Amino acid sequence: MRVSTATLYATTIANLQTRQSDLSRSQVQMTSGKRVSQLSDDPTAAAQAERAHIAQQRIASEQRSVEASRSAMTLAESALGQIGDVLHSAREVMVNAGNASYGPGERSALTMQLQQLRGQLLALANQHDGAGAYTFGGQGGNAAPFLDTPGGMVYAGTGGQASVSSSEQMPTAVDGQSIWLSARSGNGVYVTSAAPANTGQAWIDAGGVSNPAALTGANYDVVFSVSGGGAMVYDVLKDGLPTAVVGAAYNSGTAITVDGLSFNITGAPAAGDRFSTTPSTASLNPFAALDRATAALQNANATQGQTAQAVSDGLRDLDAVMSHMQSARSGAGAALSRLDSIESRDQDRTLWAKSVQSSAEDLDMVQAVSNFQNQQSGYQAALQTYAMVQRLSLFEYLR
Amino acid sequence: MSSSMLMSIGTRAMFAAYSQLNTISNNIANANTPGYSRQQTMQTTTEGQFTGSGFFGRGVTVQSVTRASNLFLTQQVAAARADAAGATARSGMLQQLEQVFGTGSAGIGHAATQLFGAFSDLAAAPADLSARQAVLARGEDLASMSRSYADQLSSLQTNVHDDVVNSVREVNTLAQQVAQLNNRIVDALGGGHTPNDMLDARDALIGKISDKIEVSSITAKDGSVGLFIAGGQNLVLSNRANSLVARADEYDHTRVAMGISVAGQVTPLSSNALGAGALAGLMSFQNEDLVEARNRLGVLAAGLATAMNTQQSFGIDLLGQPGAPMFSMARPRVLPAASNAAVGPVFLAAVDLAITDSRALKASEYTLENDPASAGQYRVTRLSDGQTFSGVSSGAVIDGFAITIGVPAPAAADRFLLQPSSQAASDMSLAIRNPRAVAAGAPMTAVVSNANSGTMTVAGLSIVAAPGIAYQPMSLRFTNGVGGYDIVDAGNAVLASGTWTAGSPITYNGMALSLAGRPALGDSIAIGPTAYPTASNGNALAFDALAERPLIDGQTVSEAYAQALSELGARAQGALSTAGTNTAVATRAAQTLSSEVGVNVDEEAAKLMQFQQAYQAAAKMLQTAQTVMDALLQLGR
Repeated sequence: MRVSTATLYATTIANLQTRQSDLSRSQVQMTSGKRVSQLSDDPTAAAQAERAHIAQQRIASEQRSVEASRSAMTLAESALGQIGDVLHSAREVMVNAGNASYGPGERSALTMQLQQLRGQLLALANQHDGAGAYTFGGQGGNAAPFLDTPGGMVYAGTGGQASVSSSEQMPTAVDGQSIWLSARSGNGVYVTSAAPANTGQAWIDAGGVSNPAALTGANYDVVFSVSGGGAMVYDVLKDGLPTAVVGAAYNSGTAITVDGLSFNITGAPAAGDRFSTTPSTASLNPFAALDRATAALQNANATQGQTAQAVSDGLRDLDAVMSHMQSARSGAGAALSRLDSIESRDQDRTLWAKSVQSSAEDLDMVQAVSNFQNQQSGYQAALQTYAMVQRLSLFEYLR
Repeated sequence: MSSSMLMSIGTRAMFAAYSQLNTISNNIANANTPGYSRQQTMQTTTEGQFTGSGFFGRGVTVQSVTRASNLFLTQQVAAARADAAGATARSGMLQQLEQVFGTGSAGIGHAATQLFGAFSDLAAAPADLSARQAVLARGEDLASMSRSYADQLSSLQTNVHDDVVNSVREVNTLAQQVAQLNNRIVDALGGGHTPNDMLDARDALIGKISDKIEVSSITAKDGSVGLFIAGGQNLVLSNRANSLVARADEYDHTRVAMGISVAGQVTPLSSNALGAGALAGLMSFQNEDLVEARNRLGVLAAGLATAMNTQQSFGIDLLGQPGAPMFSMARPRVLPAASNAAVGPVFLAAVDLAITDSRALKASEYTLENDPASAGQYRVTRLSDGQTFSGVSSGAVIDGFAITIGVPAPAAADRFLLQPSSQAASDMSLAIRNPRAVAAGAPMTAVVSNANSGTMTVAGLSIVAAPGIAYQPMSLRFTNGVGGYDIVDAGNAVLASGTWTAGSPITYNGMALSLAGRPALGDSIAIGPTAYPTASNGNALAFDALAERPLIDGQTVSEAYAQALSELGARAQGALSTAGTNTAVATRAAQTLSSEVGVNVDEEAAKLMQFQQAYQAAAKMLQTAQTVMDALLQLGR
């Protein structure tokens, strides 16, 4: 076949250019480390890399939420720990106050300590994170969530739990209303109390449940009287109406059992003394409990029974609050552990997204280097043959 | 037999050899001239002289100079060039187009994700003005990126327009030149010899026209060539050339359309009929690739902006007011065809569009015309896939937009181009400037009662639709142990009742309340207007959740963008590979042609020696003739 001389040169030059541009593309890929530098290089891989990039952005954003939640929960957890310590101190004071050898003076001194501790509790309840948010702020309010009003502690906010994720539970505030103001009163099932007008030396303990199946949820009253034989007996009234227990003999410290309730009345009651139980409600708060204990202990004319009752009630309430706080603390701890697991899952997902992005758009260096060398030797060969062929001409020999 | 015969044969031989040398030199001289075809001196034996002793040869005659040519290969080269030029033009534009759509942190998917992330950050500190400012900054980033993409698409459109206009001008000049050459070639052929260089020049001109637009050439008996484009439209006939015209698209004045002007009468040329050539490549880029890119971008912008605006309206801002729209964008556009019935410059009929459901929008434009099957109704065609909707009347909703036909109704031949979303990105801008106006708060808050005995907690209260009646404080109470509930207002009047099943939210008045845990009989949840808008982050979380929602034709924003990327990338990749293949085919065809008509210098060198010797031999003949003559003259002395 005839080869046109001009075409021969043009083709060779075109081939040289192609090889050179291949070589240059390989070099660009190797210096950038990217196999896909524009969409048309590999559209599927480009889209894959784009999705992986977005996934990483989303994870990074979730991670910031995790950090916000973690910081709030760490603060809450440590606050709840301190609250436990304060309540524990209050409990010790309360136990101290029960010392039968103490007179009104000593008890009054102890109530000063209780008031001190109450102040600490309020400060903890209104703790804020330094950035305008309150640890126990719930779903938010305008200012400190707890207001110490003459009528009692008021929650000035919205209950519930603020969260920073719509898909995961990542709380940024603890529900202060439920933690501080909503412990179960009494022993969790019912509340025992002594009538203020009692004149005897007896007091009632917190009581317990002997048969949960028999609970009725009614109010009971134990009313003492002196029997015809001069013995102290009692009647049990249910919602103010007589029951089968009429004129039962009273033995100090022996459990009285009614409809699944079981409680002890200790000491010497006077005739007409009355002790009652009412169903427990979610309304106990430590401030009110401390206030009640303070008031009772400050009463210089209190009988021994009234003092014992005040100490018993105070301990019962503090224990209830402490266990309530304890469960809130374990809630915060659970949130922290959940955040850790979210973080570790996020790290795994980030790694996965990065590897997807990398395998989609990054260059396989070994293959690239090998390709480059291949192209390099090809280009060299092309240059050499061009130099040799262009010397071949019949005119060279016509001399 | 005269002795001058010898002299005469020698002279002719010398002349023939000289002619050959002349042609060979011309070939060598033009070896590198583009479009040059190898020429050859045709020589034949002169008819012999009859004598008693038979026929005596009378030497050689130079007949003509011809050029090597191959009509079939020449036409094949022109066709292959047209294919290659068309694919290369489209591929070049697509490569510019794919640069518009950035990947990674230069992409809209990234910008949208950053905006969602800013809402997530805002949820952690709803009262923080700097977090709100960050939301606005990310929103501005997104809007300006959309605008910049749209601007780049517009400037590509301008480039296409200018390229087409220039190419059309070039084709017209070339066609004029072909017509003039036709004239001169016809004249020259009348003289009996082929005007080789003019034929070469004409072939070169036709090749150049083929680069711009595919032509079929038919050679007439008189030697002139007729050129036809777009399946039969006459561009050059004999010595007369018609002209191509670039004019505005019948709907959209920024787009260019083509026509051919014959005797002042312009016939439109459908871009599908253009065949190959750079003009065809540019037109198909403009009408398919660029439209697709604009639609994808538009539907993304419209879907995202509408969803953000809707979400904004569901929430409350720092002042407790319902949120104002976050983004503003161009309204859907309807373009009447230039041929629609009009009085002066004002079209009689008008059609209007409104987006009703941005999630159902498709990345396409539509045409609307009278439905031939039912009078008074219309037929809408989705251009991306050719789907038609017949029997459409005013108020009908197609693919998430409603069509309103104005009064008077369109005339029978009226047509409209509907662009529900393709312009959305070009005018996208952030509509709120005050960080307090970001509606991060939820208008309603649900609080579980502390007296509840069940384990139920509120997993979320989200607004899924605008409220039918004004928000009011209310309470949800479980009336039995298996999920039956009443919703009662502040006066204990029952507003709604139902039965809750685990996993599905309770919906009322546009609110969706999701519960976790188990409610017990008598448990209640207080639901009331949010008391502290500064502290509420409910709607910010809902904004963040939009990132995972199918906002655009069943896809999330980032998925839709990734799909647009792969779609455009695939187009660019396909065009690039077609351009490579077509260019290789064109090169191959050009090589085949040049192997037939091109000059090989070695061959010419060999011929140069051959005819140099022939010339020398002929000169020797003259010398011999002279010697013979001298011998004769000696006899007479």
